[in-house]
Amino acid sequence: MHITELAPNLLVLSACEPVDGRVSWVPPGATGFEPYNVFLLRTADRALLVDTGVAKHGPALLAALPGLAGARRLFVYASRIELDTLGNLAAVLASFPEAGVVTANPISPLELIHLPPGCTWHGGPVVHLRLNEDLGAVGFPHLVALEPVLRTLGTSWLYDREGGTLFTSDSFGGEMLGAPDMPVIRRDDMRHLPDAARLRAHLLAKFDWLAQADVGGLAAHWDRLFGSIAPGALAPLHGRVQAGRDLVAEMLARYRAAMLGPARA
Amino acid sequence: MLTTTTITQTREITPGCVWFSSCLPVRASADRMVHNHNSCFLLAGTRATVLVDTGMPSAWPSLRAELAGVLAGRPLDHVFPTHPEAPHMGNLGPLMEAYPALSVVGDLRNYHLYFPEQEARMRPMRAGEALDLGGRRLEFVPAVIRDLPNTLWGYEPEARILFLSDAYPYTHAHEAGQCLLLAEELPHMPGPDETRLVIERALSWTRHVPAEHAIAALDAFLAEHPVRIVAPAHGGVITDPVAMTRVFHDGLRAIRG
Repeated sequence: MHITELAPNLLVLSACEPVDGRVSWVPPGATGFEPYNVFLLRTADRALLVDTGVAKHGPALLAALPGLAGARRLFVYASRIELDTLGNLAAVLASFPEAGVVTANPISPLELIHLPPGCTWHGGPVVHLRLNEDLGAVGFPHLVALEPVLRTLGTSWLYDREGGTLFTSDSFGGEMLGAPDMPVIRRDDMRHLPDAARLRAHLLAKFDWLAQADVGGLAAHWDRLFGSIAPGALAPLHGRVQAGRDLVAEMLARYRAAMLGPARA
Repeated sequence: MLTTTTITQTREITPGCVWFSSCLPVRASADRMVHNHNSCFLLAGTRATVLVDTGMPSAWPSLRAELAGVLAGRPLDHVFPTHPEAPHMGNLGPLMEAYPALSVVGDLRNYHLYFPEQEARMRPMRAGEALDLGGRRLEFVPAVIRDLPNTLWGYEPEARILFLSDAYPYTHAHEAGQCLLLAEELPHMPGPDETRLVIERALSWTRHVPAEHAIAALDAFLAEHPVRIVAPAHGGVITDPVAMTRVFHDGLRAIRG
């Protein structure tokens, strides 16, 4: 597992998989290597793990997490109910019996996992947030849960109002790595950015209904959201992380065009 | 917020097809709680059995016992998770542990990442393929109403049962004894409001896609697949598909007004 500092007190924990047509959210014909990311924010006494990744990467995550969290109390944020977000939640709670669980999904993540036999987890109850509510209840008041523009059941994004990172779950992960040892974070580098057509193919792989959508409401949601925040980093669970104000602004413009489609961008 | 403790109940809806109903309370409004199903279904032929969807992990203790009782010593040969969201496939791990010979069937993209040690038990299926159960078969058909693109529905052509996952959802009143009633047996037949609540929460695209697209796709599908029993994951079993199709149409149309 690669551990990279995205910003002070914010780590990206990544593993890499070849793009081989075996995952549903990558469009046919894509090539390269796909980073799988989870994120760890740290304060003096608390750590927040944003999603837990797929089970395949669980052993590496569980090996790294104790050293990275140290003596801080761990909290886990669950952004969705698919197994690329919840895949290691049970194992993390078994390893961190006092860990708290936070979500903006009305379904409790604990309904959706199997804690292993003998698990002594006692970090409950689950903290349920409303959209637009901050995470002050668990010691991260600068983080706020947002409604994604594109989403599946109960998905939320998190936005760091101080650091400027937008944690986007299954959105904005359209750039793969050319080689597994490339940096997961694209930082301020505007060369060879994926174009809107490629990004649209990526969006359609997950949100195929977009091809039939009346995008007026989506555009309005997008403009309202990104008129109120100016992210300095896009932090998806899959795909490269984008960092730097100008780069992020350019990528958001391309994603907006991709979402609206070729005739409407 | 949904609360914990889900209890599974069973009902044979037609010979060789058993409904496992697990319900969760859902807050419909500030002062009104309703129930919503997270069901799965056992389909048994003379040679093999398949479980369509797996129910919620929180229902596993009761589902495990109920399933073992219904199987009565027969093996569970296959599990068909319609799509990889926890309410539909969250019990796959314990099912594979409890039934060591079973295979997993369906659109299994992503599963090598979710169950890396169980790849040998994965048997990917595409729409148009079928599973021979002996005397009956389960056809894998396109899911024309879905949350995730990697969703398949199941169709059993002999008894004309359609297992359609997230489609035709509805809530029912929060009263004892209602969780295992057919839609037609409820005190009031579910209406557009009952289905709309689940549609707009579970299928967010319905806010952006004109309902007529989905309705046309569904009607075309139903014209090719005659249905007598509709078996949704998030609503009770339906035995009057024509009436409930109208309700579902109206629920879809109500989302965008």
